[in-house]
Amino acid sequence: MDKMNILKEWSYERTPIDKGYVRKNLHVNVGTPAIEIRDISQDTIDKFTGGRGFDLHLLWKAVTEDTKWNDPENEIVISGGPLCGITQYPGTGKCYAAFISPLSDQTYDSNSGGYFGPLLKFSGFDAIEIQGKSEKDVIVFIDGDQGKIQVLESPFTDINAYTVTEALHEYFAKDEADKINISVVAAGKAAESTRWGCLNMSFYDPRRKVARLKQAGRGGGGTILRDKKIIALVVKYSNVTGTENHPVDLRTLQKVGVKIHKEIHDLDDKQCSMRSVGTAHLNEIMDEYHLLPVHNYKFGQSPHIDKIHSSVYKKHFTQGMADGCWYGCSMACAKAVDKFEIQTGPCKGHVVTVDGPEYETVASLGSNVGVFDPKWTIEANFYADHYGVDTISLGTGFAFVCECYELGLISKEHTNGLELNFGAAADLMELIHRMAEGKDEFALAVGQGIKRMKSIFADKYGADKNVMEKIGMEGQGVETSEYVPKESVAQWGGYYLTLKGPQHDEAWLIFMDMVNKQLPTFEDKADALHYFPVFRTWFSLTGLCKLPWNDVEPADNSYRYRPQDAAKVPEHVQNYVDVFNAVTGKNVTKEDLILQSERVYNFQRVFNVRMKKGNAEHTIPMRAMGPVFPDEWDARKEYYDGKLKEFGFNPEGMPTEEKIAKLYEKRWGQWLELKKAVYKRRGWNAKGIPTVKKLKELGMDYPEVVAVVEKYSRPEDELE
Amino acid sequence: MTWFEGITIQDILDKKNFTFRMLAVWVNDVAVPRNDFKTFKVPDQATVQVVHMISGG
Repeated sequence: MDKMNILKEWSYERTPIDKGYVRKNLHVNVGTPAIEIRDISQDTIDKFTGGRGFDLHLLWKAVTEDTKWNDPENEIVISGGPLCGITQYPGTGKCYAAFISPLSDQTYDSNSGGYFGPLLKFSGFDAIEIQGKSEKDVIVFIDGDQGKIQVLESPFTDINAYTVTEALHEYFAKDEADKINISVVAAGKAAESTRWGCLNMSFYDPRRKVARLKQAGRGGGGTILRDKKIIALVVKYSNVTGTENHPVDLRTLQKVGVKIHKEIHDLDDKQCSMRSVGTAHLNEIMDEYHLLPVHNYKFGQSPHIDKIHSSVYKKHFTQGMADGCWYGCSMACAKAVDKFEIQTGPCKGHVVTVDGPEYETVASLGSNVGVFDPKWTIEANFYADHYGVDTISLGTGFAFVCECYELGLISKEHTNGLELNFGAAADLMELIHRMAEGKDEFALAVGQGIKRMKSIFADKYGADKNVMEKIGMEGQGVETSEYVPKESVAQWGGYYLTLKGPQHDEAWLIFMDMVNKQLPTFEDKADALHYFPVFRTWFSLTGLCKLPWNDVEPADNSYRYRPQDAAKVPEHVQNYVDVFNAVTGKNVTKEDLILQSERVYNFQRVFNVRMKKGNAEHTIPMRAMGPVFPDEWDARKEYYDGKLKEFGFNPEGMPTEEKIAKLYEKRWGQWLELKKAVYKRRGWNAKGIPTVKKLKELGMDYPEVVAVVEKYSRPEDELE
Repeated sequence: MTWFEGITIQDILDKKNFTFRMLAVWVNDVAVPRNDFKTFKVPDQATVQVVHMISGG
């Protein structure tokens, strides 16, 4: 690659990290271009902790309530958190991106593994804010070794992620060994033409000698990156040690780390097998419990499950590799398929390494679209990453398209010749390529996401909007991730009473609720829908991965605690308390973790109320709550007839359409009751707006935050 | 389900098709370690509680 043209360059003095914090953030305006290094105050640290908390705090100040996703002032803010980059505990390389989403027009936060978060902090910044819009394609380079920031003119004609990432690792490294000191954030061609653009964040795999891509996939961050004409963000920092964060108590850190590494070593093979198949261990489990989405969530099981069983994927994944996406992660779930020959598209014939597929992709670009061919899913996964588009949104969006096609709501005439039935592997792959090409009108419509597809299909093709509202699996404009929520009332909330839309990283309560029957009342469900989303928020504040929390558990967890407590994995929660204190020198308790999270959780909710000008109430599609069509009912006739009986109806002789209507009516009532109980438990009003009292309790009663609440709250909406 | 002499926790899990690995089981309110599922004999009239730990998501 020829030497890149430097458009602007700045020098800076790297501030060392102390107790997990640099106390600096880097503001880059790619429009001007200009940079500014800003201080992070003690109050910001105390109230927002780090990571997603810092992101949202900075984003709040950058935008107004009128800011649209593609306005120059919208930012992509990326931050790890105080624990990000420690090497003693598994899953500590995460960073979090936040922005005003092109899908939901409110805040979205999305996390990624890879080395970007840690290397950014080691280079002297707790967070980076990217604002403005460049006139031409640029690359932003942060050189933590030299204390230098450059905005470079992009030389790329092929802007897709693997091309750009591999070239930039090569360009900025002195030699092969130096490539591990670099991380690249890139999107791809489809991020320009869809709202599903993802942020690929790299790490260099020295064993395979390839750049690997992890994704902050959801919410459309990649779409914003390309809208700003950024081809890539690059960070370089060399000679990483295990004490870059300057923790106050290295000994405790090491002790807690050794304990969990031993647990993973001893127990993972007997528990989740994350080291050999990653999250794909869930494939057959989800099928067994009717949770695997099949044909746009119509069904939860498939007779073809054996074709996508984890044992099949295990044969595709290279075994015996240290597949951690940050140093020290013995969970090593970042599985990859090596020497995979691409069969279609611009990379046809290339032999590549594909990151994943993880469970979500196996389901989204697999069972949900009716394709039970792992090789197809692996190739779709490759192209989604390469083109910079989120696999979950893509698969759920395609599943909606397939059902519309099968229902005759859209036809071959609209799809420009593609036959998009469920299982139409070749034509679905072609649709992915057309999205990246960005010319085909139908592909462009699909890339707008389900919420907008419903309007486009109705307006342009005369499709029945009412039917599409029932089957379109989106909430707040965001596509649902890959679990069938129909039969768990708590999971309706886990998906559709969330801050950002139906993404499983807030709460996954299906087993507790549907299988274990641990949440019998609405108050129980509301308690769980308070605790778990708030607890999980904590990972995003500190730079951690959720998986080592409960995808491995201590050998005695299942019998040492009562079931309700065991679900929280108390020993691991204590690990997090110990690790946080060991790094930061603070003296927090497990209750403090909840307080830290609840502060940011409520702040983000007010932020969304602000962006939605008060209209941020939650909704849920009919398909998420039960069958829409008779074939769904008939697939589990005995089960659903039983559900009707529980509501006091006699299903004998009742037409199936009537059964569906009666069940839906009852479940809609449950949804309203759930929503009210959850809002109340969270300290929100009937419109889902946090109360001033709640903000005061949390110490989050900043005047500008209270002003939003007061502007949109009405006395008649009070729940207390 | 029907009890028989010598029935173990594992027999019950098999009968229920519970293949999920991260299960917790209580028999008459007493927790039973996973390693004992195959050997623990469930008494007649016992209350058996099977809990799927979260994992996933």
